[in-house]
Amino acid sequence: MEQLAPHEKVYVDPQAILEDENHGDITCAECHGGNPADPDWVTAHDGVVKDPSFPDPSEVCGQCHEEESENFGTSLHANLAPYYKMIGARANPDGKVPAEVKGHMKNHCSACHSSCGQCHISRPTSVEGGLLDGHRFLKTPPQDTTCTACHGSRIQKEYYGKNPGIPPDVHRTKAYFRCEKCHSAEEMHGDGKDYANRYEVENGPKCLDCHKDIYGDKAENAEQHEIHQDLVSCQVCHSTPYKNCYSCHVGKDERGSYYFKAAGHPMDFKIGINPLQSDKRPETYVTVRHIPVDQGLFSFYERNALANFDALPTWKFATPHNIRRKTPQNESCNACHGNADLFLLEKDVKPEYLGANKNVIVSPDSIPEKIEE
Amino acid sequence: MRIIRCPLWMALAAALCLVLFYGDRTACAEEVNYCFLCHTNPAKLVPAVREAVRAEKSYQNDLPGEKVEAEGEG
Repeated sequence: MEQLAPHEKVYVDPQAILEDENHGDITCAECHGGNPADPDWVTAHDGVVKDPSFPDPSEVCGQCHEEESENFGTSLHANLAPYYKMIGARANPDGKVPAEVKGHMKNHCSACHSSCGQCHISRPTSVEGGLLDGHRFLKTPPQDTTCTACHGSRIQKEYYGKNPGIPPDVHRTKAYFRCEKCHSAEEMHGDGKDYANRYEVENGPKCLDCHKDIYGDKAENAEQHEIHQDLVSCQVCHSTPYKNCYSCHVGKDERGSYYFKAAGHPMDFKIGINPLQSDKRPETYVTVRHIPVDQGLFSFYERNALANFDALPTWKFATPHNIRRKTPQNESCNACHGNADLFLLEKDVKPEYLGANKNVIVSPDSIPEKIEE
Repeated sequence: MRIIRCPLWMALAAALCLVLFYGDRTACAEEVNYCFLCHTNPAKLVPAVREAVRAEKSYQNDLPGEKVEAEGEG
């Protein structure tokens, strides 16, 4: 995504304010502070708050948007709860380590949050910010400068078909779905409940929300859908290779700048044992994606910070955004059955990650046998 | 026709109220809002932003920088 010039980031379109019957009467200082009567721009900016909606939007947005403001703290975009919970579960439980790990995460991970303003008014700060449209209050955030500005390397490249040789998602090419078609405002804004990950969110999208009759007698390819129902996730048959990230390490360079470095980003497609099996997600086999966590993630700061590393798999439940009706693995029964390459086997997992992934690795005996077609 | 007479002090009080409240309102409405004036005018905004960027850069040269991660990796 192209960055805005510094002055473009803060240029306010007068029409954006004058024509807005809902927000047009609010003065700049009411939300941002500062002194609008001071002609010296340096002193006028004393006390100015760039994003008054973060971390607490109640005094600004919350004056009218009460429900969204009340639930803000439970929006995963705002609180990054899954990051803290997943890393917290892996952290060494002894002494001060969990608190210190949280501190390291603040340096490296918590910059990637969002807020009311960083979706509806400006680009997120984590991608250098800048007003979206002259400070217009946009009810639906623009996809390319907000959603995929952050969710770029995996979601955007998958969905838009930017990974070489991998076609875009059928929902984009056939129906030109935008993010909000599946991901509702309610899902984004939180609902007051403390979720451990995005798959728990009650109003998150499900394929069946639209494909209601896919398991019915009259559905296309009904027999195959019926046979595989609750056994494999939709992505197992309908997703194509996706990006996997390995071994993130964080640190500070000689100038004191915080950085992260991952070891690699190979494209792969792997079916593993469902690590989030529940009534809501009963499938045994799901697509799994490697995430960039590593035992040495925080070794710059301290040894053995993630002593409980094996508590969670490094190959995690995944719903890649590159869905196709026809994929290499659903071409025929035996494109998948008996095809060990598709499954996450012990040999596919780095030795140092075997303990963490013991519950998602598929044993060779569990690979569905070839069938006579 | 009945003539309503009001004492001089009432007329003076009414005049004073007009000056105080109406006059004050006019002053508020005419008060310059420099945020709006500058941020909506590229001719004023560009030089100010350039100055701010220069100041920021010299500040960053003096001190260890903040985080430099920029691209969304999600």
